[in-house]
Amino acid sequence: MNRFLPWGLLSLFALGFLLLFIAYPILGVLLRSFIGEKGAFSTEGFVIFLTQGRYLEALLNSIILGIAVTFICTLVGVFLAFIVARFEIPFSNIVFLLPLSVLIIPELISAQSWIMVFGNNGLITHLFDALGIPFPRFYGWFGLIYVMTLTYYVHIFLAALAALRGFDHSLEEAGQSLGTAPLPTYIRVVFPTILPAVLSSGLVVFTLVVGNFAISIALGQRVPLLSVLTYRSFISELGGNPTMQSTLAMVSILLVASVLFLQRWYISKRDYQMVAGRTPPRAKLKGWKSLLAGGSAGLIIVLSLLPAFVVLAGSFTYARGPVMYWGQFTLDNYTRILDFNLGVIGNSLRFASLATLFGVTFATLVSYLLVKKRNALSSTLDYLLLLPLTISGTVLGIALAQGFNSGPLVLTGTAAIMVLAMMLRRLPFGVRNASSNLHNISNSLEEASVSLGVPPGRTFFNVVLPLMAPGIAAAAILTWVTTVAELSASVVIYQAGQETLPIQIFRLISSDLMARASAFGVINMIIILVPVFFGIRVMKVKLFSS
Amino acid sequence: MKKALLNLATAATLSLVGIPIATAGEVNLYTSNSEDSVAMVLDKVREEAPDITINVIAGSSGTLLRRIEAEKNANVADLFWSSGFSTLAEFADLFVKYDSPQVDNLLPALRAEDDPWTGTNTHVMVLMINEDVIEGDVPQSWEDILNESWKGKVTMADPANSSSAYAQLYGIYTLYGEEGVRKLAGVVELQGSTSGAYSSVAQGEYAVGMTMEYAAQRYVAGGQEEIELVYPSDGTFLSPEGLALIENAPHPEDAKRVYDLLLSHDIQAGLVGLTFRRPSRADLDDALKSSGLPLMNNINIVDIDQGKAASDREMLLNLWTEARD
Repeated sequence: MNRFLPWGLLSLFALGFLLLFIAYPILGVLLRSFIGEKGAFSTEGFVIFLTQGRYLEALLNSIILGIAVTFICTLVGVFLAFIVARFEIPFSNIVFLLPLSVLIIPELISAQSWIMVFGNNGLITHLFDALGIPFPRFYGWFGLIYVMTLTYYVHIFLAALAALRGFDHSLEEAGQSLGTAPLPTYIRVVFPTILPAVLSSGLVVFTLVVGNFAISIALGQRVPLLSVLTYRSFISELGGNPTMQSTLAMVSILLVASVLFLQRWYISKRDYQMVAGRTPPRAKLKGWKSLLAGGSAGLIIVLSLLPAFVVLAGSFTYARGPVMYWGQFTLDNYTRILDFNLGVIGNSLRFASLATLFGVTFATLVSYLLVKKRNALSSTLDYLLLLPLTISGTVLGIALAQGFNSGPLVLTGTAAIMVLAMMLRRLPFGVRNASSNLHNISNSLEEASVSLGVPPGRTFFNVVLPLMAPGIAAAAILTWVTTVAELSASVVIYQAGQETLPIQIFRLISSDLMARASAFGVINMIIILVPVFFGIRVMKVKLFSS
Repeated sequence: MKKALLNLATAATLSLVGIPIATAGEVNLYTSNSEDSVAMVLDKVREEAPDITINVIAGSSGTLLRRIEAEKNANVADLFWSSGFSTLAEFADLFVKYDSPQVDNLLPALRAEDDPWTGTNTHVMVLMINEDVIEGDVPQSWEDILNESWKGKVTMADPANSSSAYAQLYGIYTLYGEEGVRKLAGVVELQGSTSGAYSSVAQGEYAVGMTMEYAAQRYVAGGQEEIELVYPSDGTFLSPEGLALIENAPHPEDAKRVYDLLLSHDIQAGLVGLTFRRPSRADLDDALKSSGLPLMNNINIVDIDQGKAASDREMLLNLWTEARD
């Protein structure tokens, strides 16, 4: 049998798919940003960007916000990781819930819940009002930085925790036995070694902040931000300007791509090999130190998980129009959904299950091709798979909507484009999850099967696939979680009748109808939580192994 | 609860397989109105025209109109309910004129007799006041807030993004000309979206917001006592909304019956109680009173030519951008 078949053909298929649905739409955005209103080459879009104050202001705000949030996330994340790794604190077993909180509480819902606490008609706002103390403005920089920090610090926490746990304690002991005090030892020995992990997760946070849509639009009314302007340019009630949409999309691609480039360059220059050493013992703190360390770690944890509970309480709270009556309970918010909005739940389930099915199938295939059957196309595939990382959901949505609204393949307005957008956003991570234990599967197993006369296709299904299963399960769960919560791409491309849960929540938040939005939020979290719980408890899937 | 779960499961299954569409005596209604408004209409139609089944496609008016446009060659929609006259004008070639017998009962400004749509309700631009944060006297007119002493205390949505904010800007331009626009630009702070204008006043961020009557009234009716509505004494502006019959609709005759019902006394009275959107009928004084809204003849209205407002848009927005720099 020809060596090129079937894997070469499949590589070709994967390449074609990525070229058509990732490279072509993004290239389209690039080209359209240089086409003026009359259809000729023009740099008008960029001239407007640079000369009309609000665009540059938005770019600058996005960068400032990115830096501020990344910085505070680093402080919070490293601090918490350090406490958890080094000290015994009272409720350290709750800490394992933290990474989950990021999964089960979508960004939109954390924004929503903090608005219910600090914002219009908020719990704390009312409390302060009752005490006669004016509460500071939550909408704007304060709210943005606060909510984004609590949403994103977990990324840095996880990276720092892994690095700290991998740190060889004897290095630290060596430092101290040579007469350095504990604190300088930390600063000179421990922190430099965890720095690469922290910095690269910090850059992930930066790109998440810059591309963030849900929190930005919910809290950034007063602060023009790039992602919100990009969205508005596309969704404007009064018809948008394609050149400006593409220009804004282009600027945000450039911003994120340059950050990713910086990250790769930085990591390539630093390389610490940690010999698997002794994990440092966890010290027991006494007295005020214990209170301080435990208390501050506890506070961070409580604040991270609070949104889920606020939304839960809000969903049972009686409301008249936009005004919430905390303490008066009702089931109205749910019965309304049962009466009117089952279709929304159906849409979410349908789109997310299709996106997960296709996404995971594709990710499994591609990861196998990339790890086990490398050929001339593999490196191109590698690079194409990085592309979705450089673009925010909003930009992906615009790229797909513009790229497929005419010509031989018209997808704009169909359910297919919704599924496609949700699937593409998660693809790079899916491939990473699916291939996580592929490296450990010895080629000889497969070769043995083939040499015994089993065709390569059947060998793949009977031998390799079962071994890949844990990685695939993790990929499936994580893809499901992110697609059910997906807002920024779908909100750009959805059509009437295609509303998903996050889109509905977003629309209700915009009309200031928080109680009703909460009921949808709770349903959204349940839909996310069920497979996660099932995967972790029943199938023993390790979601955070890599 | 069990039944609810069953419903949920059925809906999930149905949406997975796709629901087949029946054909006898039905109307496909594309609507941007809230679910409870739609539910009320459905109940009423079931009562008055039990032979008609209404299939509802809900969404924001922009996405719905674009969908109707995309389906132009294989029409599904029969009726579109509702959007602002200026938005409807942009999509005018999707609609066909229907002279409803109910039109005679409407306020003259909402009859839209030369257009392929009919007014269902109208927004009235108001000043939404938060008494907790206002210092000094409550402004009573547009002219009051153009005064420099209000700088930073008044907010509105961005006229470039929001059609209602544009209607406010155009009204100021009609009343006070270019100078009024410049004064407003110097005083007002902009919100990115329409909802920002009223939610930020309710929140207490601003003392005064330029917004729509219904949006502000929701807070008053909800029990937020510090919110007050001021109908400016120098005259306010209407921003009417309408419904339209789709050209080449698959079920035109039944659609016309629903069209008449949407303009009927009972439905319009019910809707104003639910949404606080001022109805287009002239005979609903009782319903207005019980919703807490003032009667139309107690409000001073400035006549706005909607066509001219649309054609002046680019000029006025340029003036606005320049005045804000």
